[in-house]
Amino acid sequence: MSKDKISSQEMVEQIAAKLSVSKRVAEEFLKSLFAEIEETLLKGEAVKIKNLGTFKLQWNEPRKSVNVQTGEVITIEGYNKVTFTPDSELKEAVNEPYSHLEPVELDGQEIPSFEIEKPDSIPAEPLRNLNEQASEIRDILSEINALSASKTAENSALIDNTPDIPDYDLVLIDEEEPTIEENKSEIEEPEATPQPEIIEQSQYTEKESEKPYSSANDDEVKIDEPAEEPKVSVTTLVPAQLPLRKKRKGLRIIIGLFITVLIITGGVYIAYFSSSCLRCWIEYDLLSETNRQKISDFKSSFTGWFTGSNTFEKSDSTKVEGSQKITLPEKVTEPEIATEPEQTIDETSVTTEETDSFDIVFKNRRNYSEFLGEEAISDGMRLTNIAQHYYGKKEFWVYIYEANQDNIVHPDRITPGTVVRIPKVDRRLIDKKDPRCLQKAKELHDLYVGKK
Amino acid sequence: MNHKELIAKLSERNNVSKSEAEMLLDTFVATLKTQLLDGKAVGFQSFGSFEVRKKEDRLSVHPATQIRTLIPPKLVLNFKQSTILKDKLNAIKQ
Repeated sequence: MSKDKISSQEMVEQIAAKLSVSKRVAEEFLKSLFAEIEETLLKGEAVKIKNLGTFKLQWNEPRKSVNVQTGEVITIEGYNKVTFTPDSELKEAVNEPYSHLEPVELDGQEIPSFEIEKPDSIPAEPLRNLNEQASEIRDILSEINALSASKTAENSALIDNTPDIPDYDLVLIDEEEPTIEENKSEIEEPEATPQPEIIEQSQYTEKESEKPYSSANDDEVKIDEPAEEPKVSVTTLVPAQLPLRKKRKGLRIIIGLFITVLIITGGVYIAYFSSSCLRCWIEYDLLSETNRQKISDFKSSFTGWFTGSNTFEKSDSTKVEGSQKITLPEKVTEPEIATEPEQTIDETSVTTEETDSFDIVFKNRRNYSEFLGEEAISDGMRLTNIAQHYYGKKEFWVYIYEANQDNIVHPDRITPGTVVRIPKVDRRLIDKKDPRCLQKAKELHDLYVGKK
Repeated sequence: MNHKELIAKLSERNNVSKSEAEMLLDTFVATLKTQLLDGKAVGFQSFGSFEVRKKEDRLSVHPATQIRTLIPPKLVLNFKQSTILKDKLNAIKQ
């Protein structure tokens, strides 16, 4: 017990001091007091002391219990117990520090309302079902939106990828413009008629207008339809969902804006690159297909760069020669382009920055100043593995080899423990989707592996 | 047995007047009270101990109405009989 405990001896001293009597008197008095209380209690009477409380004798009946450790059933025998009930004054005096506190009913008001709610809960269930449906519909709508977003992304991708299908680009633009108008009409109609029933009607008109439109046009629009139709069915199911309508409206505006922006950027893109890039692309095309001989010339000069000369200074000069050889046929092809100006407009987006700069990048001597990291070659590790890890394609190991030619004698015989620096190669050179990159890498591969 | 009867008995036992006995008893009660209010426990070996104990606040739920009530903490005067007294009482009873 943390509290100080005062013994009977101290009590005697205090009483003696207060009444200025001898300790013995006080002690005798206390002893007689307790003896008297005890005797009276044993008579079966209660002892009441003024300002203190009441002592009573209580008989506790024998009861059965279980020994927790052994599980044995034991009987606790009956016994007498002195109980003390403090006087109300004393009780209050003792509890004074907390006397200001009163029991608080926490949720007394909730309970009656809960009892009222119970009968109401049965008709409330359909409402809850409706809410669940609404949440489900919301989920479906969000999915549709995501689909449409990806669809627009596909459209943009189509515009970018149009080099492969040159004629398709114009068709795509023709198609997209009506869709914007469609979207605009969709947006305007609900705005004019905010009541849900009329919206439903407008929705039907939209559906009707969509059908001939979709049947008239080709595959592109048919992708639109499945995405569009669930929307219509959903809204007809719950016509009273005005917030949902508003949400859709906003989304349509956003989608419409997005498509317009796409078209504008596409147009600018076409106009900007039509003149310059196409030429380069055609140059390359003609170079690779018609002027094979020139390439073989280039190849021979290229191989001569490595086989004939060990120093880089010399190879540089030969390389310049090679590039000059290539530029010559390019000049020859230019008039051919001039004869076909219409084709340039169609194939505008065919050419990209990558195509025209690719050769230049490849021809320029790659000086590896930036590095992605270093790898210590362990036993069984190959440059191809590292290339696969860093560039995503094992064919590009040649660039790692080029950057580490000082350390590596032969790419197939690297001494374990050699630290190889992984160069940061121009992204256009290690485009694993570009067949030309692979071809160039293969050329280099033949070059390096053949050199023994 | 009430207060007066007790005083009469005590005066007989101690060969003192009733007024003196009353005074003694009153002083005893007053002293006990002050000690307890000071937060001290008072123990009498042959009789038992008086102690002020704190009952922590708790949540009680009315079984019928389900009303939950926060019962504030409170201080309670507790008496515990001594083992000597207990043994005496039980010996006599048997």
